[in-house]
Amino acid sequence: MNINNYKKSEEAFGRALRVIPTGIHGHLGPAEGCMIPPSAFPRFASKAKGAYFWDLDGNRFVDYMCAYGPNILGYNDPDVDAAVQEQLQSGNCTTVPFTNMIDLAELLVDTVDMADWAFFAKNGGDTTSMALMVAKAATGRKKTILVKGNYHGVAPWTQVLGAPGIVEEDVTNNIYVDWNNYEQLERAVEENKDEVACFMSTPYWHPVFVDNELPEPSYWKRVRDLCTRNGIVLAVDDVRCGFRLSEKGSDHYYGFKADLVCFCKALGNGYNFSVLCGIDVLKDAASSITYTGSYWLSAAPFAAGIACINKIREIGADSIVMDLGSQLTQGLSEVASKHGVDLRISGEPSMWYMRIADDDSLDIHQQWVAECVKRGVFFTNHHNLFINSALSRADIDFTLEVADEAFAVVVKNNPQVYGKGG
Amino acid sequence: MKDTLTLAHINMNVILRNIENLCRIDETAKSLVASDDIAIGFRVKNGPSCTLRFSKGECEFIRGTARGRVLLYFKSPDHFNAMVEGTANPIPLRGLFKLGFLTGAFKELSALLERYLRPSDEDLADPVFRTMSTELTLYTAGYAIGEVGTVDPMSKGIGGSMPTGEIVLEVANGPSLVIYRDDKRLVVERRRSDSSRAAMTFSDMDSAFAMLTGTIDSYSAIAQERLRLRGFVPMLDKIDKLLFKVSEYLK
Repeated sequence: MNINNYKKSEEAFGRALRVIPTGIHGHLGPAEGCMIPPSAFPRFASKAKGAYFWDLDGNRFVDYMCAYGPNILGYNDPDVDAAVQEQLQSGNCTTVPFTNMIDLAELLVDTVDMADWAFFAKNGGDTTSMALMVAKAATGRKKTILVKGNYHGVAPWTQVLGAPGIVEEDVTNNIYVDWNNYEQLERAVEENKDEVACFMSTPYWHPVFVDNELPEPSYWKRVRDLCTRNGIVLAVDDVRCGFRLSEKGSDHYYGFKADLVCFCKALGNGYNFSVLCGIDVLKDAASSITYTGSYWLSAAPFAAGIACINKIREIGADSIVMDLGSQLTQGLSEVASKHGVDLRISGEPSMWYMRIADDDSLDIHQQWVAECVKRGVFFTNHHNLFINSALSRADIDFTLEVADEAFAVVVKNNPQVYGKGG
Repeated sequence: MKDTLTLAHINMNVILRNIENLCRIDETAKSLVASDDIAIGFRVKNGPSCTLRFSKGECEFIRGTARGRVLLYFKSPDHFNAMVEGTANPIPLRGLFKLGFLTGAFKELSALLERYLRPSDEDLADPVFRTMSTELTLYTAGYAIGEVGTVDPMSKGIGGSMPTGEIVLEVANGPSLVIYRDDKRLVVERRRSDSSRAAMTFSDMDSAFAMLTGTIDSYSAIAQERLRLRGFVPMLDKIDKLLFKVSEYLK
């Protein structure tokens, strides 16, 4: 099997380092701990189509990161791109918005089960911060209960005390509880009676570096009741899961109704906008808040959103990615077992998390992922992966072939764990 | 924001502790204390304590207890920090007639250590000096991770939540530190580990020097694999956050 060469990527990265801090900053770059070792990974793309992207050196990758989520229908989806092109003929970023903003809001209200209204922004983090402001404005309270390990963006309130740039006042009104621990949550509410504005969580627990956990069967129902009894706004951060579990919202998927739901990623198949959906009773609070940005009401991303959501509904993309994810993860488990490797799969199949558990350092997992990437299957080390609906059975078969060879390499290279015979 | 108590811990358990390393790797330092056999205790009210024991050209740093023929007392962490800055004097509780060591050999050791830790461009042109300066700077940064992660009010939550296991901070084929959390604190030891759960490895002394002196940022170093990460990344992420805080104290 061919092993990738990244000569052109490395040259471009050298250029980038001279003029851009860290070369590629943020989670797409090699310094965030999800691309270990960096030399196994390509740095820049030259083109993308469907389930693939190609790097500068011409290497093709079956892409299981999907741009960290936005790619749900396949890169360069013809229907989404055509809608954008058509809108661009009329205009994009203008002084007053186009009416496709209303069309999109109506489509969201019609699609997302809990939604009575839609407030648009650009990034997922815009909507999680807005959700807290809505909750505080509506309740007149100041505290927020968050689940340890959950990611809600990069705003100061989402980060930990001691992180660079974070001061005590940024997080002083945060209360942290463990995932799936209803009793702890109930205690936190009791200890902060009439002070908690919002409980925010992802619909299931999908932090990086650890096995993901689904909600206990009664968890969300009990949380919903607790929030209702205590006048606490229940906000779901559906930025990552949104439209990959159910087009109706992940709260609907798990059988409860949230007060606020934050969407981004899969909304526009890569065209950038985000949305906070809410229930009617919170609409006045949302209206009262000053919260905006230069590009937030641009029309081209809205055109993408309309085309994307319509296509998700038309083809049943949420079911497709779940099914493809099940096929892939089942195959990966079987191939791993064949080599005597303990590969743990967790989370939902459309955005599964995986970890080789044969050492406690994740070292072997990092080696295996690197071997897969060098052979054209793009995983990252410790983030959940993503499925898009353009993935084919042939792509899954190719992935399993690569995984098989990569397992053989790491088994051979780690005799202290797997024995000399592998 | 520097916390006075944390700074006192750094001045004692990092800077004074490094005299032990200085006497191990620098011939001038060894010769300065070659004929001395003396222990000096440092005791800070509401702060840390330690003993520096000199014998036959070697130095041993003993953490947490102030014993010796010379015993120096400081009425507060501020007082101790001022002594390290050279703007205050200790209160000798014992060994009044041995204070010559403090004003002689010990003072010269301190000056030598400062020269390594705050080197001039001229000194750095010498490759041997540069290597030793880098090694001592690595120990300084590494030891300070332990103090910041244990004492600093903003950072002890990060240190206290460090996952179980050993983290190696090392230069390939060079000096190595092992960091781990015990019941009380974040411990930093100068040794190697065959069973580390995570590692930060500088590819060579030049890369270590570049990053420790701020000529290259850690993210760029990682991207270029001049700093290689391996293993359980959440531990390294916490070390990275603590190192950021360390840099505030060591400025």
